[in-house]
This record gives sequence, C-alpha cells and structure tokens, in this order.
Amino acid sequence: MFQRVELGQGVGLRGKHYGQFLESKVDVAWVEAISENFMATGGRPLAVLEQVRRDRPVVLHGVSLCVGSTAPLDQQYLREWKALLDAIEPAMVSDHLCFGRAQGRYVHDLLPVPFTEESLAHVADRVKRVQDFLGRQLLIENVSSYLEWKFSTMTEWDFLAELARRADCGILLDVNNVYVSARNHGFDARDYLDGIPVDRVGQFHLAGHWDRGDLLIDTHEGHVCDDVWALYDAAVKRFGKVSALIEWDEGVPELDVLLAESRKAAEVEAKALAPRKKKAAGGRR
Amino acid sequence: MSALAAQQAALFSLITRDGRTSVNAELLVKGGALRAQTRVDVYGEMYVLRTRDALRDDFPHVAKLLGSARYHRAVAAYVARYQSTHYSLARLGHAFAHDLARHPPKGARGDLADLAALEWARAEAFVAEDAAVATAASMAALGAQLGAARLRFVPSFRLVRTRHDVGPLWAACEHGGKVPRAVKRATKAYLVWRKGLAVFHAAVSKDEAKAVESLQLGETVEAACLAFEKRKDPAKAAFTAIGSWVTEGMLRAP
Repeated sequence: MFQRVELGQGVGLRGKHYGQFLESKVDVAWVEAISENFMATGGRPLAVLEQVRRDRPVVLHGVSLCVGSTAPLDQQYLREWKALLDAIEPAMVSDHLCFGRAQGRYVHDLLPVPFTEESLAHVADRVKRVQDFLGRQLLIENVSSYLEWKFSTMTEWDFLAELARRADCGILLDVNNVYVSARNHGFDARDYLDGIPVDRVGQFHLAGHWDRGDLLIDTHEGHVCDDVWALYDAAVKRFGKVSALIEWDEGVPELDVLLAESRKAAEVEAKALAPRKKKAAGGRR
Repeated sequence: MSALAAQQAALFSLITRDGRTSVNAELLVKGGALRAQTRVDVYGEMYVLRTRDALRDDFPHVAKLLGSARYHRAVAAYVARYQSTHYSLARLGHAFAHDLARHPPKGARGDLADLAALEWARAEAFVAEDAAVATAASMAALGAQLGAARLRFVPSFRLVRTRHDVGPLWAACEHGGKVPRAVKRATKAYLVWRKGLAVFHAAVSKDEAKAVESLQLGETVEAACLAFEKRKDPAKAAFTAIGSWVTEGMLRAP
C-alpha cells in the first residue's frame, strides 16, 4: 500500500534563489529539488541543497528516469540517484510517466507513452524494479501532452491508476498538467480526477502555462490561472489534504512572489477542506 | 524490436529530425483539430529551444559573441552531430568547443572555440564533486615520501590547452570590458579549479602545464617535476608550483 506524507505547501528550489536559501531562513514548509541537478555534483548547488535539507524536508523530483522508455534503465543514473537519496534522505521521490530516451539518446523532454496493455506492463515492471533498487516507493507524475498515440486503448487516468496498483507506487498528480492535456485533447479534467484512486495520490503540482492559441503549453511560467485553481479546489475536495508544490521554471520571479503563490495554494486547500455550514433548518424562530 | 520500442524510436526520430525513420507522423499520432505533424513539431521546437538554452547557460560569452541567429544555427548543427547521451542536459556541451573548432560558424572569430573550451571547463568545475583538499600540513607530513607520491587533483580541476590567449577575452566578456578583436594565435595553458564555491582560472607556463599533465597521468611528483628541468632553479620552480596548487585547493588530500 502507498503511504501518503503530508508536508503542506512547498516551492521548487531554483538557482535564482540559492543565495536567499543559503543566507536566511526562508518561510516555506518544504522544498522540491530537481534530482539531476544534484547527482554526482558538488560545489554551490550541493551546498545549497544540504543547507536547505538541514532546515526543512526536501522532495527530490526527477526528469530523466525515462521509466516509460524501452531503452534499458540507465545504470549510472540509478547509482548516482541512489547515492543522492542516501545523502539527502528526501521525504518523497518522484519522476514522470513518460519516455525521453531511445537508441541510447536523450531528448530531455517528457514524451507521453502509448496507453496500451503492452506499455502498461512494461512501465509497471520498470517502476517495480526501480523501487526495489532504491528500496522505497516512487510517486509517478502525469505529464502535459500535445499529442495522443493512435495505438492507445485506454485513457490516461485508467493507465495511471492501474500502473499505481500494479507497481504499488504513488501518484504525483500535476493539476496543471491535467488541465493542459484536457484542453489539448478535449477530455473533461473532472473525469481525470474521478478516475484516480484517492489513496494513491501523494503530491500535487501546480504551475502556470502558456496558451499559444491552438494548444496549451506547459511552460511553468507565470501565476497559476483561475481554471487550474478551480481544478485544484476540486482535487483537494476529492483527495483531501495532499502536499502541494508550486512549479515556476521560466521567468522565475522573486522568491516572495513564489512564496505568495504557495500561500495561495494553502488558502485554497483550507477553504476546500473547511466544513460546510449547514443552513439552519426550520426557518425563523 | 517490440512494437512499443518501434513506436518510441519512430516518434523520437520525428522529434529530433535525425532522419532515422521514414514513418509519417499521421501513422503514430492522432490528428483531430490539429494535424499530427503539428503536434509532433511542438516537441521538435521545444527540443531545439531546450538545447539552445542549456548551452547558453554554459557558454554565455560564446553565445553573446556569436549573436542570436548564428548561435542558434551553431547549436542546431551541434545537437544534430552530438545528440545527448547523458541523462543530464548539463553535460550536453561536452563537445561544443571541439565542434566549433571543426565547424566554425561563418564569420565567427578564430578564438571562439578556445573561449568555448575555457567556458566549458569553468562550467564543469562549478558543479564538480567535492573532495578533501591537501593542506600545507598534510603535504609536510609526506616528508621524504613527497618525491614518490602520486598526487591527484580535485574533481573540479581542469587543464585547458588553447591556441589563443583567450584569458583577456573571457575577462572582457565577463566584466563588461571592451572585447578585444580577434586574438593572435599563441599556445596557452590554463588551470581551472573551484575553491570553496567559486571557480577560477589562471594561465600557466608550458613547463607547469607539463608537470600537471604528468601528475594527471599518474606519474610521481619526482617524475612530474622533471618538467621544470630547464629552469634556472628547477627545485625552486617545482616547489613554487606545488605550493600554489596546495594554496589554491587544487590538490586532493594525500
């Protein structure tokens, strides 16, 4: 079974804010760092991560596991990743439901996998093998996508739910990605939420995106839009109290702006979880 | 190859435009409101932008000297020749300097590849793994064993050989000074290292570079110091060099 870790609202650790994290106590419950930026490294990036870890929980989020790829798992990657996990002892570890590697080459992108039985069996087996190697559960995140495979025989949410069951892993539900993909492919984002098992969701991601007209692009730039806040509200009502992260990678703002967005997530969560006042029955006394 | 592997390989090739597939996007991807090729092109465009931005982080001065359009073309040509084989995008630039030397962009200055080599060494040094460094005390403790010791440099240490004296060019770019015109050819050697969290580089003499190379090849201190034999006082020159390596934190703890 999957064990949810509740950390509250966090922000991503980005180079622009290294100085503030090194020099002062930043008021945030937890921080997410991109695993690959700290694997087999030292110097300033690692010094910052170690300092941050001393002050608060750290979550490590990967982008290059390529768990959906048919290329063999990268053994060097796994070794260096495990060494980082052993050193940092993160509260959670996550990567994406995608492939980004083929024929020994990386495209450094989160390419969607076909939602077929063959693909499901393949990914579930890889997630299990990685979890066995690391000795811990992973959270697997849904990606934003701009294309759908012709061969897919099931919905993304059915695929993700069944993957979590077969591999006994958690789900990192990126609310913005659900919204972006729903708009790009014409499905109902609420159907996606309804298809995800409540007890498997371990973290939410929230971010901004760019509307280029014909497609929404997951840029991680700008504020979370109203529609995504509304979807987050629905997600909190369905899944309950779940650690949530603000991702902001393009045009990274001052830390205060990022923290304010994180506080807004806390407010939306609190409002969504507040007990509803029942209307007094019986009319006037 | 399984069906899944074939599907992934075909999409990968369409995105990177590597010419390895003859499959049409319409065979792989649903169309709908947008053409399948348009959807694939989103990933193709992001691939180009991502690699361009990643390399600009590591080669800011090369990018600036080339100018936006030429830099973009140089990167596109580079990633077509050197597709990423490492999980980290930060390693993508490992052969960029070499590629600029072999395929110089039209109208680019002749010292650009050497500047790229220096920038790459600095980028690598910035994130290289930490290591315990030698100190005056730990070196002194070697005593009579110093000559037979095989000293090793810290992981951030690099020896960069160039065909132009690009130090002043780098400094002008870094500090906003007047960028010198194309630098004359001159064989130079630079040491690049990280001390604490800051990265430094310094030009060194040919014999010091030779001594460094000897140590990097696993030679003893005594053998490496033969590099200074043409100096007026070889022993003094050797001790001065080793002393500076220790002071600057270039050597691992013995």
